[in-house]
Amino acid sequence: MRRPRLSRARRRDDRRGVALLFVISTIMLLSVLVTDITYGARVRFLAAVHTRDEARAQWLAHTGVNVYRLVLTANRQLAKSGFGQQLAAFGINAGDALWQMIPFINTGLLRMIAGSGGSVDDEDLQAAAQDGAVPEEIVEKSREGTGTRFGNRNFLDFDGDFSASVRGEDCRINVNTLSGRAPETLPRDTPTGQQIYGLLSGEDNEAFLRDRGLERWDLVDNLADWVDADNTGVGGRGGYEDDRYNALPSPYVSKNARFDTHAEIRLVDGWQDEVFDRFADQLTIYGSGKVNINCADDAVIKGLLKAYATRALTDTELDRIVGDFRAAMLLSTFPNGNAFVGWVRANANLEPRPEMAQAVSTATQVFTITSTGQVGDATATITAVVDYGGSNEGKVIYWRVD
Amino acid sequence: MTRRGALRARPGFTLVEVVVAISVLALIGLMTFLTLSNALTTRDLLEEEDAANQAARIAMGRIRRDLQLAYLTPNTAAVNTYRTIFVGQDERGADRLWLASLSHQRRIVGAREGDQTEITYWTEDDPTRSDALVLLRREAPRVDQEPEKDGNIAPVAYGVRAFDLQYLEQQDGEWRKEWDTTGADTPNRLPRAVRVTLTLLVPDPDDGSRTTERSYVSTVLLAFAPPLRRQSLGSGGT
Repeated sequence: MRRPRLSRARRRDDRRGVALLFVISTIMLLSVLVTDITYGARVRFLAAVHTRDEARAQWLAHTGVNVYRLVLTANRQLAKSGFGQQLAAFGINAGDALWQMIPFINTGLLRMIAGSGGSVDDEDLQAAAQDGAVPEEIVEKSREGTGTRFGNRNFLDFDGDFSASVRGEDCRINVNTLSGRAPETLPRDTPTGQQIYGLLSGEDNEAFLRDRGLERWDLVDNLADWVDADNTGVGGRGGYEDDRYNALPSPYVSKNARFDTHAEIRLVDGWQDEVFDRFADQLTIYGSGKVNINCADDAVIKGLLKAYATRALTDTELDRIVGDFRAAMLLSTFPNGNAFVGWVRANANLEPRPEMAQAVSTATQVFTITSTGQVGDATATITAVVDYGGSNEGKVIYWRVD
Repeated sequence: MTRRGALRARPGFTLVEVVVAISVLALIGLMTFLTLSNALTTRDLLEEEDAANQAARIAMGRIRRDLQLAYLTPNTAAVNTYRTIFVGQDERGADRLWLASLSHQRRIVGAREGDQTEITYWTEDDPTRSDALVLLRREAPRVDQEPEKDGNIAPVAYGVRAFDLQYLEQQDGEWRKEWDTTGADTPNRLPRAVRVTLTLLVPDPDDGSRTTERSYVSTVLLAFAPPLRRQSLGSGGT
C-alpha cells in the first residue's frame, strides 16, 4: 500500500515544528524561572513592607500615648491654675475633668477637629520666626517646602491610624493595700478586703463563683496571702500559704510582696482566666488606695456601698442607688469624699459607716493609656501606666508593647 | 516518477546549513544556560542572604523587646520574696545576660502566668558547624526566688560569631562592658540603654560558596531605667 505523498510545503512545516518546540520549551523554562524569582522577590518585598509597617504602627501607637500625656499634663496644669481653683470653689473638680471629657482619641477625630487638615501655613511660619523659636533659615526652607521641621505637609498626613483611650487607676480598688494591714487583722476587717468582697457579691457573681467552686472570702484571702509578708494562710484556713501553689504541676510560691504588675493577679490561686476576666478590670495595683468616686464604674460603686453599708443591700436596691448616683453625676461631680457620704446618707436611705469618707477620693493621679497603631495589616498596641502624683510629672511606671 | 527519482527530488540540508544551524542552536543554548545558571545562582544567594537577614532581624527583635521591658521590682525591702536581677557578664564576644522582663506572652489558656518573666541569653558551640556559636535564650514562665533557674530554652540564632553587649551608665554617660544589679557598683539600677552587637556568618556576596561575618547592631532604650543625668549628656553621653 502506498503512503500518501506529502506536499513540499507540508514537509517544510514539519521541519519548522522542531524550532517551535525548542522555542516553546525555552520560553516555558524562562517563564518558570521568572515566576519563581518574582514570587521570591514578592515574598521578600512583602516581608520588608510588613516590618516597615510594624515599625510605623508602633510609633503611631507611641504617638497616641504621647497625645494623652499631653492631655493629662494639661489636666494637671488646669487643676493648679487659678481658673481651676475658682471652679473648685463652685464644686467643679476641674483637675479631674479634662481627661474624663476625652475618654478616647483617634486619628479620625483629630482630622475632624483639625478641619483645615492642620497644615502649617505662612502665618504659622511667620509667628514661629517672630517668636525666635525656629531659625530663619529653617523657616525659609519650610516656606519652600524643603524644610526638615516644618514641611508644607499636613501633620496628619501619614499612612495608618492610631486610636488611644485612657482610664484612671484610682477609679478602681487597689489590691496592694491588702499588704499594709497589721498581722492580726484579717482581710475581711480591712476596707480593701470588704470592697473586693462587695465587688464579688451580687446574685450573678455569686452564681458564677459557686459554679466554679470558689468562695468569695477565699478569693480575698488569697490576694492578701500573696501580698502579705508571712507564709501563714489568713482567715479560717490557716496552714502554710504556699501549699496551694506547691501542689500544682508547675509549682511556685506565694510572693509575699506587693504586686508589680496588674497581670500578676493571674498567679493568685482562684484568680485565673474567667475570674480575672470578669473582675480584674475593677482592680488595680496603682494609686493611693482610695477610690475616686467620680470615675469609678458601677461595679466598684456597688462594692463600696456593700462594704460600708450598715445593713444588707439587695441587688435591686443597689441598682436603684447606682442609677440615682449616675443621675446626680450628670449635674456635677463630687468635690470630696464627705460630699459623697452625705449624698449616700440623703439619697440612698442608707447610713454608711463613717470610715467610708476616708476610703474614697475625688482625684486621679495614675492613668493607664492604651494606644493602638495600625498601618496596613500591621498593628501594635502599647499599654502605658503614667503617674502624675506628687512630683511625678507623668513618670512611666509600666510600659508594654504587644 | 520512480521511487528513486522521488527520493532524489526531496529537498534536504547541505552540510553548511546543518553546521550553521547546530552552531546557532548551541550558541542560543549556551546563552540560555548561562542566563539561567546566573539567575539561579543569584536567586540562591539572595535567598540565603535574605534568610540570614531575616534570622538576624527576628533574633534582634526578640532581644530588643526583652531588653526594652527589663524591670526590677520596687519591693526591695521585702524579704523571702521574688528576686529580679539584671546581670551582664563580658565573655569577649560570647557575653551572658540575666534579666527580669515584662515581655512574657501567655500562650496557653488558663496558664498561671502573667507578663513577668526571667530571661537568660548565652552562647554555646553551634551543633551544625564547628566555626560558630548558637545564641540561646531561657525564658521562665514566672519570676521567682531563683532568677537563674527554670524555664524553657530555645535557640535564637545559629551561625553566631560574636554576641556582645554594652551597657550605658546614666550617671556618667559611659558605656560599660558589664552590669550587675546585685553588686555594689550598680545596685538595683538598670542601665539607661544596652547596645547589642550580633555577628553572624552569612554567605559571601562575591562567592556564594564561602561565608563572611556580618554584624547587626542595635541600641535599646530601657523603658523603666532612670533617665540620663543632665551633666552626662553635656559631657558627650548619648
